[in-house]
Amino acid sequence: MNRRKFLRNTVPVAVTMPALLNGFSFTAHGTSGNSLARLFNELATDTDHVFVLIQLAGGNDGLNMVIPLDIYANYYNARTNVAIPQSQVLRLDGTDRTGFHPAMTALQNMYNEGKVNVVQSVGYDNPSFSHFHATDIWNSGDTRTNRRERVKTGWMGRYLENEFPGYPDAYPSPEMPDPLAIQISNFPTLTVQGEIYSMGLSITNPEKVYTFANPFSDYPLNSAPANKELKFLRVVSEKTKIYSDLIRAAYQRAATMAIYPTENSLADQLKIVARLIKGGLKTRVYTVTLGEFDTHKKQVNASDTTTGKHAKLLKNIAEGISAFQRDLELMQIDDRVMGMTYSEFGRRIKSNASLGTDHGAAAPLLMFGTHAKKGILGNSPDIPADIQVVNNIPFQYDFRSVYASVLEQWFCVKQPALNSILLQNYQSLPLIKGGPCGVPDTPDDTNNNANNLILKMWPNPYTVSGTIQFSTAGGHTMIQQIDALGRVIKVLTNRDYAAGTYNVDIYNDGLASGVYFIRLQNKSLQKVITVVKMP
Amino acid sequence: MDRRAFFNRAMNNRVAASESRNKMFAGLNPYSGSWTINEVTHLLKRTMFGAKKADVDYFLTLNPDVAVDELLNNTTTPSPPVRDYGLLEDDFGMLHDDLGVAQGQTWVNDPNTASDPGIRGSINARRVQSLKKWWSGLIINQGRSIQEKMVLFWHHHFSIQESEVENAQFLYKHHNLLRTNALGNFKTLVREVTIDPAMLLHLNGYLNSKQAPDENYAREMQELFTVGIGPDSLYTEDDVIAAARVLTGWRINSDPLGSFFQASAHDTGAKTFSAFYNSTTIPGSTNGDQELDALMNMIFNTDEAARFICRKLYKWFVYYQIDTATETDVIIPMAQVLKSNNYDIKPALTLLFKSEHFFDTINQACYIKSPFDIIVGTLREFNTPFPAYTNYTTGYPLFYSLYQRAAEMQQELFQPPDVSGWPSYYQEPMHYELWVNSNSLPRRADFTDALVDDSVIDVRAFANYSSNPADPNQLIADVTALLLRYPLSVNSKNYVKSRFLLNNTTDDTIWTNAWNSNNNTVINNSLRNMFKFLMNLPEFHLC
Repeated sequence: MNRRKFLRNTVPVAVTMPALLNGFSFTAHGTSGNSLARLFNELATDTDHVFVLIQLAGGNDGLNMVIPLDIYANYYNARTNVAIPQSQVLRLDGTDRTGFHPAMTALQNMYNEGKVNVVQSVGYDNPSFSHFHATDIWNSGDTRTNRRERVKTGWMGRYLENEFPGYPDAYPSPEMPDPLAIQISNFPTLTVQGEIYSMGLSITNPEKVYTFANPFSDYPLNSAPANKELKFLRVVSEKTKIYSDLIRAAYQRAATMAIYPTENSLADQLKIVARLIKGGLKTRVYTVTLGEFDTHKKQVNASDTTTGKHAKLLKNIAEGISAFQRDLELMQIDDRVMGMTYSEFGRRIKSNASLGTDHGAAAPLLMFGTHAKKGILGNSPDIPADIQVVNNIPFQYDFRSVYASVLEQWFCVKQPALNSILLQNYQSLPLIKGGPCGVPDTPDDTNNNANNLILKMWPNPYTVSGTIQFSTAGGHTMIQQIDALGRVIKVLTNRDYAAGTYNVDIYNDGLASGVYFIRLQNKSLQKVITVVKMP
Repeated sequence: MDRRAFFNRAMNNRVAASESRNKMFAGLNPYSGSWTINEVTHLLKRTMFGAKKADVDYFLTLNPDVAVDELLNNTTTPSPPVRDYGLLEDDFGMLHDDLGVAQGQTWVNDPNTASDPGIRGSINARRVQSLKKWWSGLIINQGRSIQEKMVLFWHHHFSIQESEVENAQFLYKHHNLLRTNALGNFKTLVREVTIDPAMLLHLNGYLNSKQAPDENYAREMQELFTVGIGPDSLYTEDDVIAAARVLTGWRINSDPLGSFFQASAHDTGAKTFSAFYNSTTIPGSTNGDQELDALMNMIFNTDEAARFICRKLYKWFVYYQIDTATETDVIIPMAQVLKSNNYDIKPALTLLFKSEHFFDTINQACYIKSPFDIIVGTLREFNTPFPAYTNYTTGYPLFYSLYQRAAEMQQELFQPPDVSGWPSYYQEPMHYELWVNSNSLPRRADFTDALVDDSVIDVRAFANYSSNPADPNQLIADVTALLLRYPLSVNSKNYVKSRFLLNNTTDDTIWTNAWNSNNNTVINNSLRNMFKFLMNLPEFHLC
């Protein structure tokens, strides 16, 4: 490992950033005296790869987007009034277990062309059902409930701050002449928030952003506080002007090449993103948002459950992403761009009486792009035959495992920077094929080999003690104990193993009697068994 | 002393920031300096939203003492928000009336008992909107008073969020509590907020019971509302637990809206606190009010309770840096006055606003305007007419757009980012600077540009505030004195004059002739471009 990489990988983000970003002294000394600043400036990875985050705000009903065909009867029973008829579910190449909502033909085609990956039941332990908390959790990548403990930065913000320390004072720079991240939105999102500054630039109209040029540079009032604030305002004004000009120029350099659907706000936003990428911006992250997923009522039309509010939204997603992909291909930049959808939560398995669904937990997410690995990762969610209102979908994959995959396989982030960005170690998943980072493709990418894994516990039911036996194909292996509500109660092991079979003992675990799940995750493979604790 | 002499005095005395604050320190001695447009606009832009010409002229006729007294005492009690919405449509296209109140009548005492949950939700949403409109209407229609800035301060301080409370009646009751006590007694306010239904809901007080103690409110009450987490605030985790035990049993009553004490949920054991609270023991009882009072007495007996709120007020009104000299010479004496007046807010604020320190040049023009300062302040300074706050037909929709503009600029009424209020008043190290970024700055510019482009504001009338608008030098001197707290240099003023009034020449007669011949096209175009430019200047964002 060379010195630059070593430094970049060993300085934890959270420790170095506040000091480096503290005010204007950094700018003042950055060009001459501050060797640390120069050192850091040279460290950014040279990548032209772009990631697009599509936030589905409000809580997308994942069960009606990715419909489980293998347990269709239970699915139908749980939500008869909103269920999509089995015959109308769109089939996907190579699987009979899962299909798409009938409004998503554009994405069905893209899947069959090998440009979409579906990750089943993405979530986290102890899910929040509040829009605000859950959105913060997804955007920050921190699930801690105590707000004082929870980081105030975004996961992409931490990545970008790690790559480009000293932003915004020391930028634009020769290494990074463009905005680090662009949000097509009114509000700065937490996703790209750094320790102090947002790493992102919010725009809604790339052609009209900010044209003011401040002609004055003197400080006639001899008051240090007033001059400090005036200087700050002048710097922000100047940076805003510079970046606005860059964005406008890039936008005008490129032309849209595909036909985008109209009256589709997601498509409108992605259309801007494609032009900015083609226009030459080195910006690494774009965020766009599609709202109105909070479908408590009238999610479907009573006369035809394949139509209605949610069907329109899913059509917008499918047609928006598909047009974007086509545009990128025609522009010949599809090799550089990937994206994913996410939502703060899925919706309840059981529908309500208002033709809608209430706040739920885990849900599928979509990765897309030329480098998305075709397939469905994970199993159809477990839907009980005797469905209750409280039943939620427990997560199969932690959302930070998806983030880890993006950072590691798309942006080539190495350890320990990866851990420091994601706050702890998460297993990366096989979501990307032929990526730029030389991460080898995993042969089993759809959990097909999970049945070869050993996971058993004896005695079962248990009272005081028990032994869990598990096998691993080697590498990162984790075992969690999850309660009936889907909350992770204990992590029994979480580390690298050599391939083989191992035992973990539990003794006097202090848990109440009842039903629990033991979940084994070994990279992309995961397996769950049910155990019972007796009084 | 004229304005320039005043600045020169400051220049001679000061070199760099923190050191200079030390040396120069004016302290809380009564201010007895000059009383010019400079001091008046400083006082008004800090204590109100914007300084109207008419208000500036009015206060110039007073002296600083009388001016501050008037700002602090001139408060009014508004009538509550009213129903401004019509029929409500359900999922099947059927129209429903809000049977609780008629249009134009207040809903604040109506429990919203519509039988259909969807309609009930719609009614609540419309009422919350009418509450926001009403409040924005009060802000834009403020009198010569500090009242609206204080109400917003308390909202920042207690930081109730609509997303958590989700009930218009609760929100209004809470708001009214802040409004009623805005310039009253801080200790009383904390006591009442503690058992206010919205706060019981917001921070889980209503779930706090002997069987299952919930520490959420007890923790925030100490950390965010009373003693804070300054270096001398030494309360312990056990104090949080003990305070939570004192507060067990308070419950919400929905109709009539209020709270009550449920003795069966109360922990009747004795609660003992740490040395920070003089090892106070609050004896267990079945009298919730008595224990609450004992808790308040104990907390407000600390010096930190007084100092913490004084620091917050200082950051809200003066500047965000509190160095050692400021702590010693301003915060501590102000806190002593607050405490010795049993936490009546007015005497402490009076002391601050009448002080040399408040008017010290070092504390002028260093405050970055909040979104409401930008929006309401600018509209008021241009004397833009608005309907009365009670006008729900034409007024409420306009007021709502003010609310929305502020929300776009990150200051949303009833939705501060979290329980700590707006980061601009507490987040180290940037504080006010957090209001301005590459997203919000263009938004601010768009707003002021639109005011001019859409003729929302009358730039010609503003020019007429000048003692001699035909003289381009006088005109620029006069309008910048009103509009900009940070002065433009002579060179900058000449630049503005030449570019906007003299057609890029140095010939003053070009403007004088245009003005005197009443050449409307030239005058209006010149003024529009000049005012757009002035309001785009970084200087404009300071007050």
